[in-house]
Amino acid sequence: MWSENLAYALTQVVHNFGAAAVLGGPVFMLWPAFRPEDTRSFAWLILVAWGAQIASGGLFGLTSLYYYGETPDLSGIAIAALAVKVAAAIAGFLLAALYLLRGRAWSRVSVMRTFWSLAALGAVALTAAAFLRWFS
Amino acid sequence: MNGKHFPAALALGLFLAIPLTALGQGKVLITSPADGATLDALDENRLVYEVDPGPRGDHVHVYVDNKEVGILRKLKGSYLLEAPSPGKHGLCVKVVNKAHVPVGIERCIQVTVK
Repeated sequence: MWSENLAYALTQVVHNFGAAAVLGGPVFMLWPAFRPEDTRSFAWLILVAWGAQIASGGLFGLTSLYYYGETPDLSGIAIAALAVKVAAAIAGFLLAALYLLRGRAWSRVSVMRTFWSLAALGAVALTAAAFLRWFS
Repeated sequence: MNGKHFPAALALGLFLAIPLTALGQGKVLITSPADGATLDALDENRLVYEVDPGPRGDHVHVYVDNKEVGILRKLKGSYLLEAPSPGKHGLCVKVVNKAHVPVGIERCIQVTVK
């Protein structure tokens, strides 16, 4: 019981910090003023944060499988919210990776759009997380 | 404690521990409808339940024919069974943890809707 709660709690720690970074990272890049000199280091942070979100999300399922032999019981709105969250996480990870690979050649406007998109994906994922939490 | 008293103490300890352990496991009661009951499709049919979630449980999910239809955060109450179709149906109430994983405490009944 104690180890089970600890496993869920530690996974939640990673998930929460990842959530803070996937939204806070791009917002900090854009507001109150765009910081072009920091975009690459923040893109790395956002990439790692989305990776942590994906890994910790999977770890929630694995923890449940380990302790109970099954994954969380979701249906309806919760399933849709999970699908949105997974799609946002994959898109965010790929977009951050694409920027790190090709972004040096992009215009300032394109870079800003990239960070706006990353912020939007973060907001979508966090919103979906709330629906996943309370509709399951 | 000397060796002569040890078996008696152990037996007393087990006797006291078993009911406490059992109480800690949790349980689900479905007080209505009764298992095997026949329901009228035109009536307002409610599943009345009472749950002790045990140490691992948090809330309960309701299932009709193995499909999750409701989330209940009250440990004692009722759930409206919406327009059940005629025929035999399985109703289940399962205790789940905070991650929505069934912890193995559940009660299932069969009803017939006419």
